[in-house]
Amino acid sequence: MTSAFDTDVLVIGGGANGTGLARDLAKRGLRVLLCEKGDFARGATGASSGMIHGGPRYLLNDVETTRHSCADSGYIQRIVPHLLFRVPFLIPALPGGNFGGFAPLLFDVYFGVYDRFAVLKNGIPHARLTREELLAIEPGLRADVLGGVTSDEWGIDCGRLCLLNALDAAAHGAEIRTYTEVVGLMRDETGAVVGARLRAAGQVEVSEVRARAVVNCGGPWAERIAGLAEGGVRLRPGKGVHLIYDKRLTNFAVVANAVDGRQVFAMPYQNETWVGTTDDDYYGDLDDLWVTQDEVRYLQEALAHVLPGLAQQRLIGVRVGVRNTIFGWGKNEDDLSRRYEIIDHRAQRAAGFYSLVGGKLASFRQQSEDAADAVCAALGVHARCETHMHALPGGDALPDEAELARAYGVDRLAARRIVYRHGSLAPRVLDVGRETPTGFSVVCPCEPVLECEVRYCLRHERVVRLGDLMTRCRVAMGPCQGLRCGLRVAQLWAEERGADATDEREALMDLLTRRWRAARGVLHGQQLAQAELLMTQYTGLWRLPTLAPFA
Amino acid sequence: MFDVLVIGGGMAGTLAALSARADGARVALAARSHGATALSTGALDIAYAPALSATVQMPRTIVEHVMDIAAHRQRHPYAVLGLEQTIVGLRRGFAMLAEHLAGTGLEPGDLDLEAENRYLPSSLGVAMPAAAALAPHRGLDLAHAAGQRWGVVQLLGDASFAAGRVMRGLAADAAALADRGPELIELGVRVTARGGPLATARAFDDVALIDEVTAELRGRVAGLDGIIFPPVLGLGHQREAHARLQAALGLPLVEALAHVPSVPGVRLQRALAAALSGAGVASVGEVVRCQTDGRRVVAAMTADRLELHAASFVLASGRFIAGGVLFEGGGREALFGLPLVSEDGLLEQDHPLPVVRETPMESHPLMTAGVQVNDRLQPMCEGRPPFDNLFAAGMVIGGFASRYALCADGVALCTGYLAGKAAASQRGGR
Amino acid sequence: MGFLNLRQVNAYWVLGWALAKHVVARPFVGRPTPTRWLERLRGEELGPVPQDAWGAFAGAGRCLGCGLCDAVGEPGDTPSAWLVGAIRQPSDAPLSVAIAERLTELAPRIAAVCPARVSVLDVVRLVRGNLDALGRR
Repeated sequence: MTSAFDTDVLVIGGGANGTGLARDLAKRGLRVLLCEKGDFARGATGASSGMIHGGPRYLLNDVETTRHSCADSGYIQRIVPHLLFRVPFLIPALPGGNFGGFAPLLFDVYFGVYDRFAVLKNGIPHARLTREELLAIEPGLRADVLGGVTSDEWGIDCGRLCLLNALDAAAHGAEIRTYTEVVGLMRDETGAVVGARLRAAGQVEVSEVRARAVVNCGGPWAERIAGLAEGGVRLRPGKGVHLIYDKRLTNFAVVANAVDGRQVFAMPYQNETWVGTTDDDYYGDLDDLWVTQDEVRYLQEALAHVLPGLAQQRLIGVRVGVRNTIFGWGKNEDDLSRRYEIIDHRAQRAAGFYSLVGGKLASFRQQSEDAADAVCAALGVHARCETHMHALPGGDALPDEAELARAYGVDRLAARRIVYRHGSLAPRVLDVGRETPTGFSVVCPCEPVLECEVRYCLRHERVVRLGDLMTRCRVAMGPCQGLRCGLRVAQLWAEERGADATDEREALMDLLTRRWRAARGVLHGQQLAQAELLMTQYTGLWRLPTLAPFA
Repeated sequence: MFDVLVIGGGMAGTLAALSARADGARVALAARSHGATALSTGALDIAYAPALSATVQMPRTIVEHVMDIAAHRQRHPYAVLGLEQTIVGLRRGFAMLAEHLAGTGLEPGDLDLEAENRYLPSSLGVAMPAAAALAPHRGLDLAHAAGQRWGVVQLLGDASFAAGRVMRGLAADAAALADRGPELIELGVRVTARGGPLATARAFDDVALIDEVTAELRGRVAGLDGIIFPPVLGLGHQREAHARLQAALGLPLVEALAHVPSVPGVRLQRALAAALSGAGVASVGEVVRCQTDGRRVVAAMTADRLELHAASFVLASGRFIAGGVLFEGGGREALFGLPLVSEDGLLEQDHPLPVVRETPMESHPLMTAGVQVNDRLQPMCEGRPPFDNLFAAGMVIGGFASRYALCADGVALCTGYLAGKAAASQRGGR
Repeated sequence: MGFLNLRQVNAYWVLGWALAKHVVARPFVGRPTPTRWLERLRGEELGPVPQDAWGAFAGAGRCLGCGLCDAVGEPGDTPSAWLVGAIRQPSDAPLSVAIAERLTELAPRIAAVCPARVSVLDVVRLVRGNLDALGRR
């Protein structure tokens, strides 16, 4: 059984499901190969609201789902505490809203029930607020708000979550290949899937890998991947857009209803404010998403209804992605279930091929566990899931930021960010700073990010293209869009990689282009001035493709 | 009561004020704060138009570039003004700038439109084509430096300038330009630079630091044809700094073109301010509103509620960076609400944001947005100038962007000079 | 389908029972007031939004990162790094006190050069407001 196969399980997809599954399987002792056609968290995970929620809305249909969600949220907190941040919610009742004047009372009861489960994830028992109390906490709310209740959930850095899953999988022997696309499946005479054909990005050659099982965690691409073995997966992809504002305008997420009654929210996320989401059936190109002016306007109007001042704030970019919702006919996008399914493609005569579809970020660990159970059962492996018992890299302890700042002579704010992103590995990140005279200098003032962290990420965090660095340490994610950090980051890239001038410029172009794609839909007001400055600044680089005629 | 009131204190506004003053007008200039001029690189971009016409031979001389731009971009100011006016504006505007920068250490030299663009070393590590440059940046043309040896200085702890990148990039570009570029050698200098280029440049205003650098470099520069420095050698005393260093080392010194935060930009902005006061241009506060009467602009109100009357007005308020043009819900010029035009045509008030651009390199209509002018530089609205005594200069004019053709300084010099002259000629027109 | 309905019935039962208990017990126990909730959040450096914050956000958030303000002030001052980094998270306010003091002094000089019209005083207002909100002043 051993030599005929290159690996036990091939996992396709580098989102939360794929990386979570790879980690789970690797910890159970299986040989795992994970292939992702881009970078980690570039699909549904990377465009999600980044929330590990306990699922209060499931209380309406199924109490047990809420209990499970809260329990799993608790596990995630235990394995990666540094990456989570509390997001308190305000749920205001507005005049003319549902239930009229009874709304605060009903909310109070509802979240009273939720409190019972929320303790599993270290939630704070809710409070019920009068109009005056609400306005004292969040003066940006409409003055005629009736009152409301509080709740709280946990936000997470999705890009780093996937990275840490992948790194931990690798630490347990898994092989992780980003920028590697599965272009075909290998079948035996019975139709069973026995491997896949892979192609690295930008290459022509296709290589083959033989695997005892292949699991499709392709998110919105899952339908296409399943199509390589005659289908069996049907999704109803829903495009979701978040608007990103320049800073954390409030410490509280505020829930609002859009013009069509859908629930949307404004939410603090790291040092930004996100407003989302839209949910519309999407039939376009999954690899080339952009927002429309209607989507931007829809969200702005929805939140202006409850936070009128938001309309004047500085919009710096968007997150746009497609949900991998399981197909359902005759329902509104919102009413589609976020449930997940593990499909055994034996029914399509493709034994050994599985798809993990649907689900949500908050329960990625449970989803991965169930999929791993299914794969292990099929392979006759009797090993238990351990993903909820052991910390992800850096999750075992939280170093003291003030102490680190003192020990390494860095700004405390910078130390705080490093601790947030790297947890107990923060000293290792800071150690890199001692190698060069500029090691502790600020590369990106918006976050801030220090040189040592950029170097550390370039060395240890599987940055293949320079743009990948944005989801590692958030360089170029701030209001200035890479104006201040771009050149410096490219220089560090060149030093770390021994790149020549062409490589370095291409790397910088990759970073700026990715940034541009997130910003192009909202060039407006001050952000247009920012774009003008950025483009003027890098004129020399834009000119480069035209240098050729001289040669 | 002034003859001419110029709104905007960047390169275009300054040139407009100086040229109106040279024609004897009583001139006031209203500046808000710094704008794009203070962020410039140190090069003077007159005309460089890459690949405007893929099938045609690449233009060679600067005047050929001007003609190429005018031929392919019908809304570019060079096209609107016509070749004859453009050339006159460029020559005289440049000469006027040169005259007023004399003695600052920033003298831009002469402008030879029949010459080719030079290729100057930039901090981006790119050989940047430019027709001219301020004195500190002009000494090395990478297209004509084969066989030479230049040192590239890396200050210790200077995170804003990477000699390694500059050497790698320039070597590659010079090889593409001329088969063989200069040989570049890194010169590490143990002078600590912290706090960004502007802080470093201020530290270099002190001769003691210059002497430290001299001591570091002495004995290591034999056989070199020159030294490339980061653009930080002095912020107010750049002339003295360069002279002292050059005398001590006996070699040509060149500062690389800057990126932001830009020392050359701040030096230029300060020199322009000095030139204005030296020429007797009155400095008034920020203009927040203008009063019009039929087809004339009558007065401008400043932020401190001063009402300024003038016979004619020059609008040189810049584009998005400086706030002369706004795009908030709809696009308009900030002071008069004039409609905007882009390279591709009129931008409607509620122009949908063009989102379908794959890369930042693709042309983007908003990036060329500004007011439309006629060949007398009067802003246009619905096919005619709404005001007889209003002229525009610089980036507030639409139809071009330095991203697509390096020309922003040329447009500022040319339109600034011509707008100032046109405004001055309106004296007694009331 | 029947299975699903059971879950649904259970959900309605749980919520309905909670509502009934609430209506009966409310006169005796009162409502859960926000005092303790706020206290716990403050302990995690999550303070309420300062009363004048919404008036200060836009002016404070105009920075383009051009760095021109680094030319004013004393050597060693780097206002361009402070203006963005210092205000992106309210919980960072305690780390930005010294910056706020320095910015107050530099405000007129920054206004004279800033192309973006950043309102430095709004930045300072936000830092101080957030400090108050955390009870740190």
